[in-house]
Amino acid sequence: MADEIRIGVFICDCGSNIRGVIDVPELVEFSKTLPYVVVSDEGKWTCSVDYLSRMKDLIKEHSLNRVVVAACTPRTHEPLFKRTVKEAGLNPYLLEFVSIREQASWVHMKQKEEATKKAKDLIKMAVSKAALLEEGEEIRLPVGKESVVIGGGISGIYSALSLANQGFQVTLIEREKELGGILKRLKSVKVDSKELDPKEVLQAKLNEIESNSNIKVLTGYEIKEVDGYIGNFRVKVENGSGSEEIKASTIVVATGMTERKPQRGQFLYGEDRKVLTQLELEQALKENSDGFLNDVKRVVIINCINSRNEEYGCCNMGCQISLKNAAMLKEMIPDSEIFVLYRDLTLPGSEGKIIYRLREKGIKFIRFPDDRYPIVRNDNGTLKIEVFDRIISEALNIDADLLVLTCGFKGADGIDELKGMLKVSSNSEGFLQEAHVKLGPVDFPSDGIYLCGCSRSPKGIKESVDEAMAAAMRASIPMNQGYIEAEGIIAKIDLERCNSCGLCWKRCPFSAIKVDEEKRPHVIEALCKGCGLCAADCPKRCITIVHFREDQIIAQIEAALEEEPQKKIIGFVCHWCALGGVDMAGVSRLQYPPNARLIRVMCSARVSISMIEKAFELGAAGVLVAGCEFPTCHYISGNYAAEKRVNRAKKILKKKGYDPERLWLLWCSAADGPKFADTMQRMVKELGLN
Amino acid sequence: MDSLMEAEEKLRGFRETIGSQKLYACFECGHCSACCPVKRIRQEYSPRKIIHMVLLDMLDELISSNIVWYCTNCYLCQELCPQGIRIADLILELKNLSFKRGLSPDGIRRQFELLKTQGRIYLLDEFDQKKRKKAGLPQLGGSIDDLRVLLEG
Repeated sequence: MADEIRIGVFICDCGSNIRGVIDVPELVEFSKTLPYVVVSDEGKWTCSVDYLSRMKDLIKEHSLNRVVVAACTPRTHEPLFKRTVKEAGLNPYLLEFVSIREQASWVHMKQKEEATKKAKDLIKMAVSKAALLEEGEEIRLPVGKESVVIGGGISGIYSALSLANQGFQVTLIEREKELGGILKRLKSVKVDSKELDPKEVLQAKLNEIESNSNIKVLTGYEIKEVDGYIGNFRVKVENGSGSEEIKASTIVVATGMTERKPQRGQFLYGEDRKVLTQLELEQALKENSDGFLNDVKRVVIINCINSRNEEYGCCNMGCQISLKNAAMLKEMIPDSEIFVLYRDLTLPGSEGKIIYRLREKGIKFIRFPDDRYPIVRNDNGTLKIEVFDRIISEALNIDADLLVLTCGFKGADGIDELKGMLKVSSNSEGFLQEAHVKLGPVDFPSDGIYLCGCSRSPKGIKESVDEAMAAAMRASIPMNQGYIEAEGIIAKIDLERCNSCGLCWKRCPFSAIKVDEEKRPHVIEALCKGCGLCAADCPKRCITIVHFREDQIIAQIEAALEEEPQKKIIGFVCHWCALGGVDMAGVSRLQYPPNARLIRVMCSARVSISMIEKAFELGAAGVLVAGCEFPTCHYISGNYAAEKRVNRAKKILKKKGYDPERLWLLWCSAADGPKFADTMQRMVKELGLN
Repeated sequence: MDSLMEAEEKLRGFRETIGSQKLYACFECGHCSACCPVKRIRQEYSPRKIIHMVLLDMLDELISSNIVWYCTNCYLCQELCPQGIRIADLILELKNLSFKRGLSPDGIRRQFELLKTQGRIYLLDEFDQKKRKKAGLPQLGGSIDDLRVLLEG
């Protein structure tokens, strides 16, 4: 923009929330002295309708082309002011929002002078960044009406039906010969203590699928390749005879789970045909092959097989499964004796009452110690189980005709390949990881891909169906709208200066950077989330992040350290968690020393070594890099990258003669205000600033 | 022996009778064992263990050991059981079965003989009678015919 830069600064009193501590009129006078500032104004409630219209008038009256709002927190009010700026005819990316409530008035209530000083600095930083702001553009991507559902278990079936019933074209891909997944293999299922026939449940849904012209079912197909992004996915599938490419706008992953079977020989599993897992038992009962239950008079069920140890947690479903199957066996063979050997029984909701009914029927429960699992032997063809009873404090011996092992679960076979293709992550047990447990429970961090059912964690049919519907609804939002608007905060590569090292392409957590034949990178704007990891790592410094450019951030650092740098801490806080923690400290009125000058970045991975160095060069007392707590990061792995980089920076600082101990790291969740406040206290103390 | 068969019959149906009094409702909280005054001096005795063994159909093991005889019938466990299980009554039934099968401890058997022949569980001697006289109490002894009728009836 070649025009003259004209900045307007709008400072909010927030009633007495800010005005009660900070001398706002002084701030107004101060900001008038800053370069490019044309107008500075105080508002009692800047977010009120009246003031917003006054703001629009002032923008027009003074032909402002940059706006700085000093008020509460960008996490809550930035969208409102962005809209206002837009309504006034300005590009919304020309707004800089600075928090003087959560970061100053609320947390330094007893240090009024210091708080005012800090607010001045924050405004100065914002103004110097504002002068460098440039227009940004929201990216609009078309989204079609076709969806792919991967996995044809009950979750996949419900998702596909829900999408198809809303008028979307659905391709349901299942690698087995038939739809049905785990449900197909079960003899009985229970929902809220009511027994259902899996066959009936499944058949009803299969009929619905058959009669729905919007669903195309591909059974016997494996996924070979997934490419693209929301609105433009290409899924390549293959069966024995050939391959097919499906175009889709959204993908729902419902790949389910599989039993984590015991090792061969463990509890004689795989060696004695009378030893089965729960799922194998159900299948055998369903098929009732060669009179499977003939002569079975005594059954032993052992729970928590390879679960709740150092490697694996609670399997989530085992207790309920074991009780359901114990009851089922007792019903099928009324004169049988059934033992359930357990460590603990966890029975949520109405399930908790079942145990009394089972005991009444004569099913026997024996609790064994965590470190003393039952021992299984084969004595001339008889299964002998030795279990230590915690109440009797003695080992009991049981001869069994059938031994059923309750195992935990893991993600479906081949999930590692699939998650690579989809660029999503899973936990160590192969269960896929959602974007956020509360804010995006069926979303992935990448747009347009959703998950549900047992692919996420082991669960019953009811929860699976709930999630399947949820995932379908999430997928339908962009498809109904016909487009998505991605924020304009993205990476841009200056190919003139690029030396095609390929680092950005390798590092991008979203695979948003592709390289052509000449190894020249380019950014796929639809995939880029603007975390800034690539820009901070680029050795040629040829990647810029819109709205978070290197020079903009450096300008903030310079402004912050103009006066008394030896007393100040430069803090880089990520927008999502760390700034959330800062805001939480503010809301909770936690008081901490006013030494920090915080700079907002989208992700801690945006903070480059040169920024840290700059702060120390200018004499900062300390630097804090704060991001999301592990393993959560809104940009998949940004915080891990930041941690590595900070460790590298420490070495560089040491070489340059700065004390690396002055560079701090903080991982703080958005709810953890006390952690941030405490870190501030400690930092000030350890850096000797008080 | 009629009475033995009767007792065994009673215990065979024990799970059912006690069942209706919610033996299966035991959630193993251990309140019975914690409050039991006997357990304080006899670690191996535990009402919770007895309930558990009955639920596991381990009656034979239970009555062939002397464990049930430690119970003093104080009824504290039964009073305090949060699930309303008649623990002391259960143990009394177990004692009866143990006795009728001839598995009770010698001391108990001797007491029974005393009761049958003298109408009391302690032997009376001169010393006792003298002390009673000194205290102005009536002398004990005499016919136990009434008692015998009771015991046999």
